Amino acid sequence: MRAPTSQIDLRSSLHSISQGGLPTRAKERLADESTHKLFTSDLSVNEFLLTREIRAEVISQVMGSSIYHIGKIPDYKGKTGEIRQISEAHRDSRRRALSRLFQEAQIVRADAVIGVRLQERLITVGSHGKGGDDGDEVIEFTVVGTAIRAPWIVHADNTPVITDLNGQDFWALAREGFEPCGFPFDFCRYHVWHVMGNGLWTPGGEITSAHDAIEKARISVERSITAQAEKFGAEFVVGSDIKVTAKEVPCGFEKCELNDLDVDVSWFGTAVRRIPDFKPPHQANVPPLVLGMMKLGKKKRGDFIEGEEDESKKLEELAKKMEESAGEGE
Amino acid sequence: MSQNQPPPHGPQAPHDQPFIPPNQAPAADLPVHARERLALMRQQHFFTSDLSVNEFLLVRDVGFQPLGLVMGSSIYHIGMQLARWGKNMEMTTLTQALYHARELAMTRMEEEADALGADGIIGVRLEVNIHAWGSDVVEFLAIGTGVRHAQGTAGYRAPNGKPFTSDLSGQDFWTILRAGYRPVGFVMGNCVYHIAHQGLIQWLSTATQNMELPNYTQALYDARELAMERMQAEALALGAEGVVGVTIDESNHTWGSHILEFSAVGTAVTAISQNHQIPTPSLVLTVND
Repeated sequence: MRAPTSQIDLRSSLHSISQGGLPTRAKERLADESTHKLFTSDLSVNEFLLTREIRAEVISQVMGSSIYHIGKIPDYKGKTGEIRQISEAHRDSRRRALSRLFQEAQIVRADAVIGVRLQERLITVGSHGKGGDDGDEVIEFTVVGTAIRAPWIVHADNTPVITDLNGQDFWALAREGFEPCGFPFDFCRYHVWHVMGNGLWTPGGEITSAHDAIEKARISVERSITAQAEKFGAEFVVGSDIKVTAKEVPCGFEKCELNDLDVDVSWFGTAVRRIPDFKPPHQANVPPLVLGMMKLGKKKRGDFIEGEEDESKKLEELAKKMEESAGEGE
Repeated sequence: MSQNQPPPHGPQAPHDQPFIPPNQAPAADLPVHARERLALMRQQHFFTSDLSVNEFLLVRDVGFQPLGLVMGSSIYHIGMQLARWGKNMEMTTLTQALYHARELAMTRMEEEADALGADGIIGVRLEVNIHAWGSDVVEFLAIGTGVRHAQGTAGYRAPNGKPFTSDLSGQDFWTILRAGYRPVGFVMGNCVYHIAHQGLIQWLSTATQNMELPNYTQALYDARELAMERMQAEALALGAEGVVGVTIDESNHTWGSHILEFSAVGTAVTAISQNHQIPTPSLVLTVND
């Protein structure tokens, strides 16, 4: 292990972050990266070898992170619609984290970052502890990916392309003559006030207000994704990471016991376009069907211990029963 | 073919390091039962392994024999270190303690493999167990399968003459050897970080604006960077060409929510031939469910 912690200038590091930049230590590590041949990557063995297949060279693991405070919203009660402040907070934290990933990739002069993993985490809930329309939550957004050098990807000077496609997908696209050209994303928080009406009498049937909310949130996000993809000059968007969640939260206004509904739509996608002048080496044909008899895939840690939990629960119950029956026997 | 000759596609053994027959290497650190078990396995040419059937066959296909399940364990008392309540800082004592505990577990596993005469260990799992009987006590456990090249060579060992370690599965091991790389070591780096308490967030709770919290971003970013940097330093020290399959984990261990450990682990690899071409895979549609 290298001598622990070389000291860094905390103040300048903080300053850099508040400008949306990278912390000093990240800059140092990546600058060091270009002085030796060692690469780091979170690609699996198969992904790593496939990237070599399409003339892409692994440079380094890169990341970005942003911890973000969503502003407190004092007076949102009684409204239904998108809560712009919350949507914008999620958007901004994503933008900042991805921007840091982008800057890291710039330092190592990458052409693309592939296999980006996205992680959002709630660090503290708001003062009402219920999420919903009050804001005041602290969230962390983290992205980790692998920077690669792939000269055949067309992009503006030193503007690496980011994608959450894994190595296999990236390889399959490149083989058919497609390249990633952008990473559109958006987020929408839609709030429905008193989703089940006044709570006294609710007829059966579809809850139209909830349905409406999901529909509207999805459309708003989709429009934004399409607009971004167009700006990237994309032919289509693939590999979309779409999450739609709907969560009931207490209204909480003057001890109101009715429930509101929060709809979150989060969408990431990779904008893809045809590689100019690409001549396919072969006639594209329908891939053959296979029935795998032998698992040749990856065995990741803990992958083969499915259903263990249930077993232990059963055993526990069994042990309890035996104890009880022993107690009766005495 | 003489005993010490490397395989045709294998790496050259370093010339400056004399080859010590593994059975003569001391294994002083291991418990008596471990030594007895390993000695008996050596004698009887009997093996155990946690490889699946496919992994077992693939490992044999690239010329290796599984020799036995090997493990190392270290039970460590994790002390506390005082941190300033409202300050983001690295807890260097804790960082080093946890690193040391893992190192001990790994070293013991290597010693077991050495006693079996293995060239390396594949499928290494590094686990952390918290037992009910001890508060602040954590067990670090390293388990893997010792393998030896069928032609008997030290050429596959790590640069320091010990068996190589890797968390690659049997399948990955097969693929990477066929592609002209070999694993040289399981590398890791960690960082224990204290995250400042509420003060700042409480002050902010009056703020109605959306804003990033630079202090916190800096703190967690820094901690991950440190873990990655240390892992990279280990790989460089091994003379590796790169690290594949890096994962960054975070855990609380026994400390509550304001102290986090970030650990980065991966397998360092180096090239054994110039040609890294793999046969172009063909696309298939799987009809498994």
